[in-house]
Amino acid sequence: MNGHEKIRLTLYDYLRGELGDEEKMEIAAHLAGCARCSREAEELRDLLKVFAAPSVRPSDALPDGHWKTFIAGVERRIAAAGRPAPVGPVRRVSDAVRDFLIFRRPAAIRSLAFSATAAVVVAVAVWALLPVGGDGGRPGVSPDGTPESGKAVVRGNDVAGIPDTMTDFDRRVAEYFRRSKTLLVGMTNSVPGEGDAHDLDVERSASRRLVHEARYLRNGPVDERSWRLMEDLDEIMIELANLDEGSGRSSSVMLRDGIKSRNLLFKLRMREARSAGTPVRQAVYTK
Amino acid sequence: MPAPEERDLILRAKEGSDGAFRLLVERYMKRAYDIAIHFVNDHDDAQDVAQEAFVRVHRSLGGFRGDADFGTWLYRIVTNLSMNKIRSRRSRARFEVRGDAMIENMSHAGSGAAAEPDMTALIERALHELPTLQRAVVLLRHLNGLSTREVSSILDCSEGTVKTHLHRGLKKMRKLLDFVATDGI
Repeated sequence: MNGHEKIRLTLYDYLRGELGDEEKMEIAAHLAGCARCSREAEELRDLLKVFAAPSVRPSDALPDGHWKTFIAGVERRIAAAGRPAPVGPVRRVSDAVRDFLIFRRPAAIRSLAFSATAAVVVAVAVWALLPVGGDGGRPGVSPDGTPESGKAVVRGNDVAGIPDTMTDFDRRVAEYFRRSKTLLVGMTNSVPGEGDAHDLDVERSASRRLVHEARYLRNGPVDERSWRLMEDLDEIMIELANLDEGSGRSSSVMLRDGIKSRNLLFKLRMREARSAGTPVRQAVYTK
Repeated sequence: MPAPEERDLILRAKEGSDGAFRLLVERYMKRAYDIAIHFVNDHDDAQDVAQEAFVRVHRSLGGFRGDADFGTWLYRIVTNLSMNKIRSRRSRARFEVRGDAMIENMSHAGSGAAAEPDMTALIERALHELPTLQRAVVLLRHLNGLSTREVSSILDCSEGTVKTHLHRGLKKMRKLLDFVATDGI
């Protein structure tokens, strides 16, 4: 990089007054003796006159109440997406108490409930997974997440496979897809009329449960195609879980369009066909 | 590296403290929104991007080592989501452009006098003409007032690259807005 180029790359900082005294003097001296760089500086100054950085940040123009809604929106989305796997098995009780004392109470009450529930779940899980004769772990799945040898596992990509030989985990995956399909079929078949409010309470709570279930399943030994399908389903389920109460026809239509545009029902049927060992052609073309 | 107080907040949020995470959101939400709005130029989209960025941060907080600045990490997510939003909007616009152009032609044909050029719209259009990285640098460095170092961390490139993109981006904008500056509109 030659001297002129170096100066030109620094002109913006120079014109904005962001340089130290030494650099400022160096550039001023260069501009005084270099017509081309001086012209560039003038052109940049002209541009910055019309393209000025805003003196007021866009966020400052929004009322305080807006930010409360913003935070509530973030919390709602997190709740809909399911909580991430915590670092430790149980959340620190001291944190929950601190939240309760300092921060928003409804959230704190939820936190305490979550901690208590987590403790109960962990206790039950430890009890349930205590080794009976072997070395414990989830049935059909070794601690590192790979299927145990000697137990047949049906994979989404396998065409041949008998449901009776599925592991508990695969059965749970199949159940997740079956419930998702039922919900989506219901959504696509029940779009309310113009102006009608649509009570989606049941669908919303079902979708929330499915979002939580998918979150667990996607951390398990699930094949890539099923994982992607869960991801697609998740998007719709989260949208559904976040629908406002009494949402009208437009929301239902948008959801139905989303289901159709992602070919979700088709993909679900294809997956079912693969898992059940039904020839794909028959599953697709038979009504 | 985050300040000790912020490090404590991050640590508590990682352990599952809703209150600590909420404080992080409160601390960074306005900046996240500002960055997003400069990219997407629409309030609802900017809010969507900023909220989604916090959801992703919450999801990945367990893997945040804390050796990088939390803000930089968040702003990188906001920048990426904003660029994705623009991309998806563009692909949608491909199907809508024909209709928009027809409406614009009809409204121009209806009004007799030429409309006054709107400076904001001209600048917006000029920004839109810039290649992605140049536009990102101009938006982050100039409109959001982030330092060269911050921008280089967000975009994961060297400070020299940021300076080069800023220089080229502004030069191109100067060219695109040439008549504006010389005519003194």
